[in-house]
Amino acid sequence: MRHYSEVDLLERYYIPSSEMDEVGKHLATCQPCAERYALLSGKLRDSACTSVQSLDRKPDTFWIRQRMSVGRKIEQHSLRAPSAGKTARLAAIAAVFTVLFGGGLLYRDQIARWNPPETVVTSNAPASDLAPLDVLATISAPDDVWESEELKPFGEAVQWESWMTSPAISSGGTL
Amino acid sequence: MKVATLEVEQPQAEPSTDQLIDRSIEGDQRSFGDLVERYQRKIFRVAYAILRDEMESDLVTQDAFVQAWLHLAKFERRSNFETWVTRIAINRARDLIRSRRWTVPLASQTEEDEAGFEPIDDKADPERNALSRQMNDAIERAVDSLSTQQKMIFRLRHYENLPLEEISQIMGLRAGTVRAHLFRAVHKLRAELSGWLPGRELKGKAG
Repeated sequence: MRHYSEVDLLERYYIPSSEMDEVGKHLATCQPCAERYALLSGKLRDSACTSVQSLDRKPDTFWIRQRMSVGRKIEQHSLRAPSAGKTARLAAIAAVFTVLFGGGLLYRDQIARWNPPETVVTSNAPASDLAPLDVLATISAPDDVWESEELKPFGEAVQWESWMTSPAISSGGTL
Repeated sequence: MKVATLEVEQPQAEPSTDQLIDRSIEGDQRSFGDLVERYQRKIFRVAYAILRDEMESDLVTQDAFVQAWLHLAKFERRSNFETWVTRIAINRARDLIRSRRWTVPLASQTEEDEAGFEPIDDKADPERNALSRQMNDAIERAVDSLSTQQKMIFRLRHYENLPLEEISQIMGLRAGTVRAHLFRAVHKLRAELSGWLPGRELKGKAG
């Protein structure tokens, strides 16, 4: 029969297994090993208790202070939460405003691009010198472009140019 | 005929944890305070078992309850409240243990322990207490070489004597995984405690 040392029994203490396994059966029948196991359990329990003993002796004030700290931290969170929400709301409003304003500007720009403004010709001449629209409507364009009213001051030159291209001249006519 | 009615004041039953949770979700901080009072000792002990530092354990306990308050509406009640908060505390403690790796300890853990604890009832059995303390130091030396998870599992088992099922529940691990981690921890412990525990000479002796 194999006996178990305290070191061997460490495993059984920390990792409980079935009473019906090899060690369990042995402990049930072997008095020295059972005593050794009880001794080991006592030592390990003592060593664990030694370090947590101070926790059991904590005064009520410790737990009250801890609860108050939890309460304070929760309060801080609750105070922080609405202000965070407020900031988020303001940011959202600012974002919507930016989008709308930017969109408006863009729309105006696009509209301007699609419908260019009509070119308006302005004149320095007094309004009375300008031909009224009905008068302009009666003016008919001359058949010969060289007879245009606009070329009157240049009549001689035009006539000369006309002479150069005239079929009469080119065929040996006189001036 | 008039029937006289006698109103008997019945002693107010203590609200259940579920009732306190419901009230807390509605914003009743006093009910949440009652929840804290009900579980703070357990959470603190678990945190201390893992961290071995009172100040850190206190902070972890507070943080766990604050987190619980903030996420109470999301608590699905698949596990009980105690397990849920313990799990929050364990996660926080794990983060702290990991962050310790990057900090230079000013004093060894053993020295801290000795300085931090009040003297226990020395009159009762000073020799036994001294031995227990020394043995615990040896255990902690062995535990120091374990991984964070092994360390946490072993400490919960050693200091809080939690059953394996509860450890697996609060750590979110399978029972088999917890058992495997404990095996490794005990293997290290055997080597460290061989000087403290009599015993190898018994091997092979006939009984």
